[in-house]
Amino acid sequence: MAVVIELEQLSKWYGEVMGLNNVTASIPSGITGLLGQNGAGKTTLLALATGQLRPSRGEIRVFGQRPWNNTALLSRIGYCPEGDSFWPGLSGRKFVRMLARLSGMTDRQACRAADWAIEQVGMTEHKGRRIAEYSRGMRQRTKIAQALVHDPELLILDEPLSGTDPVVRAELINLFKRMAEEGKTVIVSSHVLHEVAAMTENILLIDHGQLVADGNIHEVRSLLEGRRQRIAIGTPAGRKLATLLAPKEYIISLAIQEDGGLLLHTSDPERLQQELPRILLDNDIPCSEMASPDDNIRAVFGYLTRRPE
Amino acid sequence: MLVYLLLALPPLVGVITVNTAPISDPMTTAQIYWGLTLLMMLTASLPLAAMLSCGPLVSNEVSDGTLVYLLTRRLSRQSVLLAKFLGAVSSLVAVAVLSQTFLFLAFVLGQYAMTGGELGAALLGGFVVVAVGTVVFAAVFNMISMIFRKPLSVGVGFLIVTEWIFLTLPVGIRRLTVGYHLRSLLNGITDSPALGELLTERAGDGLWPAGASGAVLVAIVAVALTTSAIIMMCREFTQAREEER
Repeated sequence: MAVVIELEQLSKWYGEVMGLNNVTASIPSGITGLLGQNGAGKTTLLALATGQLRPSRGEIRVFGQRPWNNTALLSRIGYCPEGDSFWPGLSGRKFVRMLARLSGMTDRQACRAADWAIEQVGMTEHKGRRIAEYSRGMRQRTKIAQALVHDPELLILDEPLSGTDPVVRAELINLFKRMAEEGKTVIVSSHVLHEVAAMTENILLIDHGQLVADGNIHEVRSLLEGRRQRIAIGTPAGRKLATLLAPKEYIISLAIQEDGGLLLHTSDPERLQQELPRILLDNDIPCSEMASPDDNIRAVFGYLTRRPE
Repeated sequence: MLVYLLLALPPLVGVITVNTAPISDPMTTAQIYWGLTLLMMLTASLPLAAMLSCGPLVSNEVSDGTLVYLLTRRLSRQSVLLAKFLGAVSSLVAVAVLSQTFLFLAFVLGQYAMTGGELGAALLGGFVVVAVGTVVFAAVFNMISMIFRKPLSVGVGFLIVTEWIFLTLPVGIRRLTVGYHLRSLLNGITDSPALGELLTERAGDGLWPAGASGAVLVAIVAVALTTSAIIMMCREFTQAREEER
């Protein structure tokens, strides 16, 4: 596979604070998962790749070019930031169209491109509504639409699945896979291992600004075998969902929360992730969120960096 | 909303003063209106409004988290700053001119419909000076917001010192104020002896020719914008983002 991003002894400091320390790696075409806990340096790496920050030391090359102050290169990159920020008062369509215009399109092209991008993320029905009225998952999809709108070759997505419910999460994962099949390079950052595992086998693991591991996700996942993971599911029908999940062999324990939601322990979060959307849809169970406390990924980092859990 | 109120207040005070003052001579009343409203506009409302709307151009985007959308498009950092500056100044000029127009019409309809000729020149001069003043103050406050982390408090301090305290100091120092040169410009454009007398009295010394003051104002804008651009290139887009993290 062709190398799209090359990092060579890349470092970034924020004054006294180290954001990224001496990272050397190559990111190939296809989907790559950038894994790390909050504050590990994922966003710093992505900001360097999109030319928002200048390296303190070392070099980063995207498509063989330095991204800093390189506006021509930016037209080949689509970036979905982690932050939940929008200009107030805009509808989803206006927001995406405005950013398409800023990508150099004419108004007519921007309208067409915005409608296409919004359709890709399944937001056509809601595109005329103000973003302020959107749910977290809808806002997340709108941010992804603005990253897609100028049809970039490289998509850089910072925690794109956070705040989405399992059904939307499955749809977005399918979308990223389709983009990769169409020849785009997709980089997805996450602190949830099984999210990334559902998309790709190729990962970079970052911890405290340093590259801990890169390569095949199975090697990392093998470290998790035998460990149970905790998953919180936000739903008003926790009891009904618990009844449906209880017979599954990968469910270790189930507990109904005070707000009606469900907290469970599973031995196979990836399988749960695959099966849960179907269970929710078939039984008409609403679900607002599926949060995965990162206990286990922290354990992996602890193991890899030889720090206690 | 605060910006609109700031810009509408001086003409409103002018209208109220003129309509309640026991003055019978139409021209004197007109001059009181213009002298009062423009002096208030130039020394208080306009600088404060410019500071509120044009000061934290980029830092607002940083704190709101929306800067990232602009920085990851095919836009240079310089063009982002320039576009934001021009947009803010244009809207400010439009609001300033609108507020002057509406309240001037109210003034004319209420008191002096028959003195059109003389007031027309003053009106034109007032609009020009309001527009020029908006651009100058916007550039200055944009520079202040680039240099200081607390642009509002520093900007207010700057105004108090340069536009109000300087006016109480010896004559030569008054020429260091933006307001002095805006008055000179207004005096040159309107060419009204009575209004000129009012403006000269306020300035405390002979006013400069309009061309010379115009050149000074252009130089202020150029220096402020160049300084802002240099500071921004060196610091704002990198350090502000880094601090945000």
